[in-house]
Amino acid sequence: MRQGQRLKGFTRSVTHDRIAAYADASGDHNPLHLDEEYARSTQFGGVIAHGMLSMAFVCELMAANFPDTWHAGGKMKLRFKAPVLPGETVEVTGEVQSVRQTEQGQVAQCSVACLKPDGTEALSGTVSAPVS
Amino acid sequence: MLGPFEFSFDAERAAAFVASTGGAETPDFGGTLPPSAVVAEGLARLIAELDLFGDEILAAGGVVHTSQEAEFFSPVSVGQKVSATAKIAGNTLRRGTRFVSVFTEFRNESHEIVATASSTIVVPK
Repeated sequence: MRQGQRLKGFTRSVTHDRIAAYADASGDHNPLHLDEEYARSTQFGGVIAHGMLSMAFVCELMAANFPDTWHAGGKMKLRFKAPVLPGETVEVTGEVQSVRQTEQGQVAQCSVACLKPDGTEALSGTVSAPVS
Repeated sequence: MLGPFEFSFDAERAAAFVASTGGAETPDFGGTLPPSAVVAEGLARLIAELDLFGDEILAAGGVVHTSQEAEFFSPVSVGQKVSATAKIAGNTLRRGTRFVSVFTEFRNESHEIVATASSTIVVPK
């Protein structure tokens, strides 16, 4: 890992079915994500995906790029900036911002984002993981 | 303090979680849970404890998750028992919006911290 290196990212489609499956698997049944009639009455005007679903995408990005260290040494700080809507495909990206030496070894600090189809950041933040 | 909330993911639920978030390129987590599953479960338990999907809150616009921090110290295996405790770390009113931050610690059966999380949500005033 070196500064400026892009993490191997992926795209992921977010459908009503995926949102419903995530609600069941996570236990988060907020009607904002599941009940169209209720969601229309909110500031969002309709159903949106869980922010934690996007967080799970970032976790997967890091697990794929730091398979030996993410589960024991990973750290993340994320902001949910725009809702992901059903039917959208998000691009999950990351880039190494720095690699610093610590007492425990090298740690890579990365910027990460989930981008909506128009390029808007649905989520962004910083994550770090030890370099194995 | 909120909790402790005790939980585990059996193989079926762990697979369901991975399927709900994953795609063709999703790595094989083997017998380990995706760390996001642990944090998500903790958040869901907190929401239930605080009744954040109650009728009054939903009628006022509901809650919105605005930021999430987490740190992972040790893998959590499928079937492993985890105990989560939480505390309200912040409750502030900014420009007419109430932000509540909750800090959660997740421990394994040996009482070792496996993960921490800090969730910030906007709730109706």
